[in-house]
Amino acid sequence: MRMKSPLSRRALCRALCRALLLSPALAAAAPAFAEAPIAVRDSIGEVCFRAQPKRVVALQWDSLENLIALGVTPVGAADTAPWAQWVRSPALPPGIADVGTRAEPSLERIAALQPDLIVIGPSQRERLDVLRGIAPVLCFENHRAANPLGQAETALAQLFELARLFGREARARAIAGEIEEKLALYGREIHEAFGRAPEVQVVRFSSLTTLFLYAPNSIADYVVEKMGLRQPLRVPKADYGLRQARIRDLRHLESACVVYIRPFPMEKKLLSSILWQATPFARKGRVAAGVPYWSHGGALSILATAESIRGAMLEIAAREASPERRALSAQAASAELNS
Amino acid sequence: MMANASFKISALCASLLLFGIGAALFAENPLRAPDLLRLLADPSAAQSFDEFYYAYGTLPRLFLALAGGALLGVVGALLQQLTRNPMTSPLTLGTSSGAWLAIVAATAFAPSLSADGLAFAAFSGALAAFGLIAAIAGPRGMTGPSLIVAGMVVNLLFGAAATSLILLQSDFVSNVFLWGAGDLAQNGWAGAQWLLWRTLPVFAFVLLFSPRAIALLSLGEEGARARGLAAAPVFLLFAALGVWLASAFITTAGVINFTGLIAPNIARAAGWRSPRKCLCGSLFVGAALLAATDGAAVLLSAATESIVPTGVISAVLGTPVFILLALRTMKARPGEAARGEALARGLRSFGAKAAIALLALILLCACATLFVTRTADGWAWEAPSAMAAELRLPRLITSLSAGASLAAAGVILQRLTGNPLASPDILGVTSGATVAMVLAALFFGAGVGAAGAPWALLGSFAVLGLILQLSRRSHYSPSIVVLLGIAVSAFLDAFTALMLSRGTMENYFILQWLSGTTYKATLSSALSLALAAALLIGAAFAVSRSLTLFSIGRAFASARGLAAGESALGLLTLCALLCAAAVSVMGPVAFVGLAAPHIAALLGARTAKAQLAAASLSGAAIVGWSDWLGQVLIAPAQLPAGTLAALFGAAYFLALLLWRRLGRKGALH
Repeated sequence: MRMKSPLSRRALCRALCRALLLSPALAAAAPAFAEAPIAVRDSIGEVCFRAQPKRVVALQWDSLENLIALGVTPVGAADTAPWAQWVRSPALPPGIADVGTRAEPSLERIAALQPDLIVIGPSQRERLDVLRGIAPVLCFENHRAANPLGQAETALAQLFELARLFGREARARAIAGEIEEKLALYGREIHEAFGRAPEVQVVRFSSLTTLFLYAPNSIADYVVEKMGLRQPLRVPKADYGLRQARIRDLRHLESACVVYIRPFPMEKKLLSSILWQATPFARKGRVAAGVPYWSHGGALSILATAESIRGAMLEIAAREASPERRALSAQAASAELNS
Repeated sequence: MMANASFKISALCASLLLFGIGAALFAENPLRAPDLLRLLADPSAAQSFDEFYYAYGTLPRLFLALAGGALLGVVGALLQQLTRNPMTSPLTLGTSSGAWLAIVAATAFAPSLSADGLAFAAFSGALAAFGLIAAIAGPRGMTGPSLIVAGMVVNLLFGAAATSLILLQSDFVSNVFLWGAGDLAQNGWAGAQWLLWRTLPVFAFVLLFSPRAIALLSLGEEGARARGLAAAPVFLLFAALGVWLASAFITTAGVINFTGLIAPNIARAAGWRSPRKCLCGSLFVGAALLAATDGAAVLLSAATESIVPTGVISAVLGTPVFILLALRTMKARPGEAARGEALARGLRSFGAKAAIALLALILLCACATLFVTRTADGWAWEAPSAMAAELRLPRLITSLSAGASLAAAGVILQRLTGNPLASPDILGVTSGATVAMVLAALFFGAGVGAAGAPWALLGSFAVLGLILQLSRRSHYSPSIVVLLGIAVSAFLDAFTALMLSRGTMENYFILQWLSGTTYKATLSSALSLALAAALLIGAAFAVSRSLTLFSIGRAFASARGLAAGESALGLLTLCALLCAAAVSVMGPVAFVGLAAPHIAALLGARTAKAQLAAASLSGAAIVGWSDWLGQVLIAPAQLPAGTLAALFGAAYFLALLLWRRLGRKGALH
């Protein structure tokens, strides 16, 4: 075999890292290593970099999003055309070469870009050996139900690992800080608008009778918890954070609000359907649409998710506080006073 | 005796009906009986969600199961009597997959289409499939097994087209997956009403007027004409009406196979044989069958707290019944076990010229794969870098070896069964391997490609064993082996649809694998496949004498001292190994095993050895070229080789069948 086994190379690299980190004298003696080598932790283990990668190829949307958030523009990425439709924001900077689909990216196009780092996800892992032959590979998995961390925590951890590699930790901290701050702020806004902590169930429609619930390992659930709220339906963790259910499974949501994430081509038909209108939350008008966001994205998707849910919740709150409502509750209050 | 059978079957259907209605009404219903009755009388009195759900979820679903079952039963009875073929149905005619392809295309390109528009699209797709089949089989062939073979070919072709569409437009069609799995769940009465008004007039017309037409048609064309009936237009009219009814149902509730095929057979077993009795009996049996199937789906969904589509239950319950029926039918008509005729006549003998041409084609393919690519700047023709060679070589080796293996398996099966339409995919052997790998992935959670060769081997052996066991008595009659293949493929489709309906990204990887891709081939997997192919094809050459003897006839083979049973077993084992080797590395590739032996025959390969050689070369060429085209056509994205090969193979095969028909017509006039 021409190539060394990746495992041994990895072990070698790790050992080298440790040696260099442990002996500053050696590092100082070797001017080639102006900076200390950086060990980045991914879903497989650790990869050691001696220099900052300059030409990055991102084959998964969550890493692509994190890279752009950090201000690193990859030379190549997969599925750049559908990005505009599904992830929408942030917009891709110009000049990123398309290397094919996420499921089967063109390995030759990747090699032709002469990358010094390839960031992949679970769907490309089967070609790990080939990709490692092209450039060092970082593999981030965020979709398995078995992961101890949810999709949001994984996205943040990935953001910080990439930030360390590209020396943009300040930026990552700023992003994480903004997320923390915004989530708390949105939570307070919702609390104030409702005058309490409402329960909110986030869903995505799949047909006129079925939908997906966002499971505890999804970004949506993370956002809801961070806003000081909770989802009333406790389903087990699920791969990709989505769990299929029927509309009927929402029948016990008496006091909760429901936020459905767009797009759904048959939205109008579903909203006017009799079963949907018979649900307790729909009767009370506690439903609103959230603007589309990418459910399996990176750190910025956490913000997008939060904004989507916040917008929908404030809409519901405004509806609850509409004049008729207010009149009704005033009536009830005066009745209470009179009695 | 007959009255007894009729009573027994009536009782059975009545209890199925009761079970279905009971399960539908009570499985997920916390309401009390008086409330149920009150709501039945006045649905608008519903107050709580449970009451609404009962009045607008449970009842329309039950209605749809009953009405849809009746509809499918009548369609099946109509088509079976028109074609005088007990195995005709929207499934076997390929009209289901025609409608499905049309719905997928409509959803991808015109997502805002109304229900009527969608139904019209489905109808057009189904009608196109039916027209294609009618053109292939011809008016005389409509009653024989060739109709079903044509249906299978169209099924595979349209299925491959739908798969490639889904792969290319995956983001836009994900909403149709649950539909494809056959989901009867309803939200309000709109769907049921829509179906009722679109089908009731046609339904009534068919029930009133078709029995007489069927009776006259059964006299034959001359007899019918003597009684003032223009046979062909009437046949086509009623067939089109049947296709419309089936398409309307597919538009409402998705693809639910088997009901339309099984119901009329049960009705006939009950002794309801006259055209009118058969139609009405099938109506009753169909309603009972679908109600019971849907009841089981509701119960299972409630028990597992997940969504179990009705179509999947239908496939699980229907496949064995279908196989039993196929066997009974074939036993009842042993005379039909006719030997197939050669499909094509081409060169007189397979000589050096043809062999060189094939080798040149493969060499050209190898050159194209290794040297021609599309880079970001356009087409490039250059010697590959070491890295590129390392990527391209395994794919080339894999596609060539898989093509050769499947082609050799096709030759073995066609010679062994004396059936020119036998092939690993038509017989369901590749589907068997695929089902095993998909089920292994579903239950053991590994990635579908990673499940590996043992499962593929198990699956293909299971199906081959089944075929061997079941069709021995019918002497591998063409229709029965094809019917078994249809059953296994329909089973596979149902499970694929179930996996896809779960809606997560993993599904696209499964679909990608299901469409036969060389993307994940490594040098070691490619070399082991090549080695296996070489050894197995070599073994086939070594036993080519038995292949020759078998293709003359089983009795002849025995007379020549061949231990027919053991040889057949050995050859089938060889065939299963060939299929499993190919499928475990690159997933299922349809049509190569069917088309390659015919291409070989067309090139003049008469002897077993020549056919093996020519077919293996042609198979390698087909899959090799498909793989290269798949890599460059829409670069940097890729099309799976299996899908392209299926499209090529099917198109070739259809052209061949059509050409043969036209040629024959020319000879008649």
